[in-house]
Amino acid sequence: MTRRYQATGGDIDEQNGYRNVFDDEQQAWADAIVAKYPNPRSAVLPLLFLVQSVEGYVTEDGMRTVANMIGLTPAQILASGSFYTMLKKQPQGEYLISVCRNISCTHRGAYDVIQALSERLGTDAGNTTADGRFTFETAECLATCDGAPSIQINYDDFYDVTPQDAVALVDKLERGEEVRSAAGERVRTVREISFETATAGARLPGTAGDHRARTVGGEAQPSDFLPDSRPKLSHDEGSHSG
Amino acid sequence: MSDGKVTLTINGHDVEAEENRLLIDVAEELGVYVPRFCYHPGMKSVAVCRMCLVKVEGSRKLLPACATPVTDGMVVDTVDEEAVDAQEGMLEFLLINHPLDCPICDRAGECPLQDQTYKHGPGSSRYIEPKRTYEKALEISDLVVLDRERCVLCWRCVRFSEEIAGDAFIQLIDRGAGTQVLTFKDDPFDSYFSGNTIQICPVGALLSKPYRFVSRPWDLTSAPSVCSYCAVGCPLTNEARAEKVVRCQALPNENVNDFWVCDKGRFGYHYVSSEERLASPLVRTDADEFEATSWGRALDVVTGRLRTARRIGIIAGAHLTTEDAYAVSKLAKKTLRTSDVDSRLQDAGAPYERAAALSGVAGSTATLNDLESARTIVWVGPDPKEVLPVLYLRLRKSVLEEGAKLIVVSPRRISLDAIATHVIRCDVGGEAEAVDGLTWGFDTAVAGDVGDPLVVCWGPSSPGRDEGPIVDAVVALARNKNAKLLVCPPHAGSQGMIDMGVHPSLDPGYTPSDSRGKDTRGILQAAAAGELDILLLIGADPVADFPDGGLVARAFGSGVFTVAVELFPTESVAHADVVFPSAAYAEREGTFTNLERRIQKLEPLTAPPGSASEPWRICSRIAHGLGDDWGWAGFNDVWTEIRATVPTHAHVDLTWAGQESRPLSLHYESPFQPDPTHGRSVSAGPGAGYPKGHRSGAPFHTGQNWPLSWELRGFEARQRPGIIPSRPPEPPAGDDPVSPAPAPGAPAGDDAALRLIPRTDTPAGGDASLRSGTPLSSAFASEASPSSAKGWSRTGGEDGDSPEVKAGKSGVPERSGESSPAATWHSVEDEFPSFSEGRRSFVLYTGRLLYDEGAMVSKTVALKSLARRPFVELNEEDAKELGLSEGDEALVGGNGVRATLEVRLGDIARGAVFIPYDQPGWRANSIIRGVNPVVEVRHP
Ligand code: SF4
Ligand code: SF4
Ligand code: FES
Ligand code: FES
Repeated sequence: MTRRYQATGGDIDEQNGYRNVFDDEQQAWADAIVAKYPNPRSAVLPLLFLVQSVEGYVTEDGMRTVANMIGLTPAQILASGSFYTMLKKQPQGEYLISVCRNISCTHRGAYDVIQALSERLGTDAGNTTADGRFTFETAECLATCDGAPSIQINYDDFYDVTPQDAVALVDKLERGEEVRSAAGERVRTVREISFETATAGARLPGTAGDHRARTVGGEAQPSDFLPDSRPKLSHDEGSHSG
Repeated sequence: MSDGKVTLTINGHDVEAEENRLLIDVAEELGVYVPRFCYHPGMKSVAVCRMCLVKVEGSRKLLPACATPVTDGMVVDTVDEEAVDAQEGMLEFLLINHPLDCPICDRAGECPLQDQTYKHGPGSSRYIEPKRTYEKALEISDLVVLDRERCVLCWRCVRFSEEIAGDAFIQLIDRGAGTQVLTFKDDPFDSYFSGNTIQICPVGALLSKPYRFVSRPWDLTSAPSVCSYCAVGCPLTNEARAEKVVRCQALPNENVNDFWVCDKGRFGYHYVSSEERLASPLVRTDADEFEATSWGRALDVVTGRLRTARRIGIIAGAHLTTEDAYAVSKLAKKTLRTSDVDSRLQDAGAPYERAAALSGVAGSTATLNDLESARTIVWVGPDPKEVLPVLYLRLRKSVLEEGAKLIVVSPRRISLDAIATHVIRCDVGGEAEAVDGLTWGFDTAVAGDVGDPLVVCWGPSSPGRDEGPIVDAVVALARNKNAKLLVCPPHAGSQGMIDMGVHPSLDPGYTPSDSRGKDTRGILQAAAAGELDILLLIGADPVADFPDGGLVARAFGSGVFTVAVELFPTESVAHADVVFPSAAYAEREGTFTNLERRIQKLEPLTAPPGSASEPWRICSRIAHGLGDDWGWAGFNDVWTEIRATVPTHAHVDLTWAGQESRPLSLHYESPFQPDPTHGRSVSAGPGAGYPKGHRSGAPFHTGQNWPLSWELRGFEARQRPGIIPSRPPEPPAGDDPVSPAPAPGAPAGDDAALRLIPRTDTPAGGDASLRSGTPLSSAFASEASPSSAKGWSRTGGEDGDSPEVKAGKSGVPERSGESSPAATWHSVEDEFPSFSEGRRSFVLYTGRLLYDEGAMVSKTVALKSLARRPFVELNEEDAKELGLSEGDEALVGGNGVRATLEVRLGDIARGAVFIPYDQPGWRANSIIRGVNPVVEVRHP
């Protein structure tokens, strides 16, 4: 691999052109995020979440956009961003389903869940469905062993999941129906949660409060999903939200 | 303890050290070598590799010696069982993923990982699982190849690029279990300093593309040298295999370059062994062809001519050594009795002699180290990153590490703007006014209190313009604020030329000449007018370098008898009648004098091609042929004479040159010579005891950064400090050409010329009128013959009417139209054409980029392809008025030549354009006519 280039001595202004991934409104958010910090480079992570909310994952253009905004090199952005698993470097499904396969969950049937999901989604763990709606992965302990087997959808918890439960969840999401987690929170898309993470505490100029799509706490409703075919383990709802 | 000293014990030896020094350094100076990977004395400690763990009494855990400052009463054991166990453990971990590449790795034989494994590692590995693998050798630039499998994640390259160079293009990504070193996607490692990461990488992960697979380190011979490019004068080591220079690395000198060199210095050695080098004297035959001949015959032809010549002009190049300069000066002023001698080509408009008004020294009174102790630095000059790269690193360090304030005065954005405290964006030529503003309206908030250490730096920036007013203003500022002056001429030999009197009004040692001679422009004008009998070009290529292409063409067109001493058949050589081949810097003994007037020595490594010889020797032979026997047999004879006749250099002591052969082992514990008192013994094995790095024939360890102690020891043992000659007494005050300080409260000059820009602001656009330092009507004042002047506005810009520049292979714009050199598109009387006509006159601001079409770079394969395409940089407002935007093509015309260049929008003063001086297929001097050139730009 040889890369042809003209040496500029690292003049960032001379870098190859790229697509600015933000439209005007998103740019306003980006500026508001940068404004939160005394040093613009502190805004790297929220800006990358904003990129993820716009692009679905952290794209190359997205990293260049952020680099240019806060005066770092794209390499520095990649170096910071690539540490965090919640920032996706590959195209990602709208819903990320993570199935725990550690010891408690395995004992209580995690591999049945994994197999059911593989069949339902038509793909092995670690992949994204062809329609781009679901990414399915296995995970290490999700710290909700008392609800084993546990899964998360976009980092919201579901406990005591049977293979049938898992398939039913997928069906519901595919039909566009609302799904609520064990903590009673509506499961949102990767883009939605990325936007919330990015903009937490930031406010657009001229607006009163912070524009998060969801107010944490207070509004949780009973989960509409927890089949009663099995005895429910007692746990304190709401304290496990991921 | 008092006076900042502490006493501690290391491996049973008491040692006194300065407080706050790092244990790893103090131990090393005692001769106790603590193994390390991440620590590098030129950068901050990060203590990530954990290789340097040592036992410190009273500490529960082992401490990293690279991040532990010495304290009073500390008791350290570096060979404690626990420490040794930790070191072994770390090495075993590092080797888990390290490939068994030594047989195919460039670094083998000088590899810190190899060396330390022999000395400190376990003999074998317990690891049997598969190793981590990556795609092999990625070319991350045209100079650097990356093999990620070999990386030990020491962060050195990352830290260098962030901390030292400021262009963080190489990073550790996917941090965690899968950490790897990489650049961003397909972006090149586009740094002017990338080669340093190769030198400091403690394994073979970062490799030099030009040197890859070329040699084994033990097959290299080496010699210390000094970079032959710019005036910083970085000490280097040249390394050769089979009489061919194949590698070049930085030698550390904390006074000059710290540990670093730029990529031009590091990779720019190919030209020395280029096939195109001149190897024998040439004379022009009657058939108008060159014919190889003997030295005797060529010298006869030249001396025969010189004997009858009355009017002689000599132009010397600024890549020659100090001895060459002395010889040229002596040949001109003593043997030939002419003061028509000069060395200024690209910097033709730079009156260095006026700097002598400050202290009698036509050069710097500041040293590079003064930058670091300065409270404030004022920079008036070109972009140092492009022309004096390591000076840029020193300035950057002074500002970011030492907290100096930096005031940048420049008509366009330069690399220093990003770290400047204040940027003064002035018009081209308005620098003088801006500096005056600093002098009289010195704002203590901006520049610190008067009396705080201040260094004022000036270097000629735009070839072709008169820097006189700027020098005067800079000198006045330095004088009034009691500041030191750093004069930054462009090339490796520039300062030596001035010191040795290759100058029309200065004799050696800055003594004013009895008679004022012609400068470069004067000599060329005389040639053009047929008033010169013979022109001697000694390492000078005016066709490429002199900022008035038309004048050079007329000078050569006159058929003046020309003698050239050169490395390559340059275009100037093509006009010569007799040519002598010159030896290059790696083939000769010599000295360069850098921009702080430090004299440093070159040692010969390879033999020159054919019968090529040092320019000083050629000068002395010419003098001999004229009956003036200088009696010089070798380098030392020249210096004996320089010491005897040049007052500033009377005490220059070159005996340090001999110190280089002093063996280093005096107080150095090599990892291969285990010291029974301090170190553990190493079991003999393949390679144990091999004197790594200390190759026979090499006077000292030259090749690598390894072991680092070589470098540290090097500061003392092979110190090449150079000599900064003393200065003669100050001239009497009556001769002061600088106006005295005004009474307190004097007006602060024209405020309008000063626009202080806080570093984050975008510059104000300024007003639309041109405020160049020189009125347009004088732009051609020095040119006497605008006879057939045709203004662009008058001819209506018909394409057929104007010669078009084709960027020819030769790099010289070709004229397709009529060739009268006097033709021009804008006459002296022209007013600015109105904007509605879609064209405008602009003051031309030009300057070199690091990789250009200079004779040496363009003969260097590794660098040639990196040169940027030429462009024209315009202010956004100006471009808008012309209907041009970024990436468009614009027609640029001047001196009767037109070129099509790509438009770049830049932060540049309104009414000015920046065009690089010498890029592939392009020479700005083709459109330059006269002093302070003006060009026209329009939509094509
Ligand atoms: S590439 Fe070399 S210098 Fe860079 S982190 Fe790896 S081992 Fe260190
Ligand atoms: S900074 Fe100048 S002297 Fe130093 S290596 Fe680069 S070109 Fe050579
Ligand atoms: S083992 Fe599955 S959540 Fe802990
Ligand atoms: S931790 Fe000290 S050298 Fe790396």
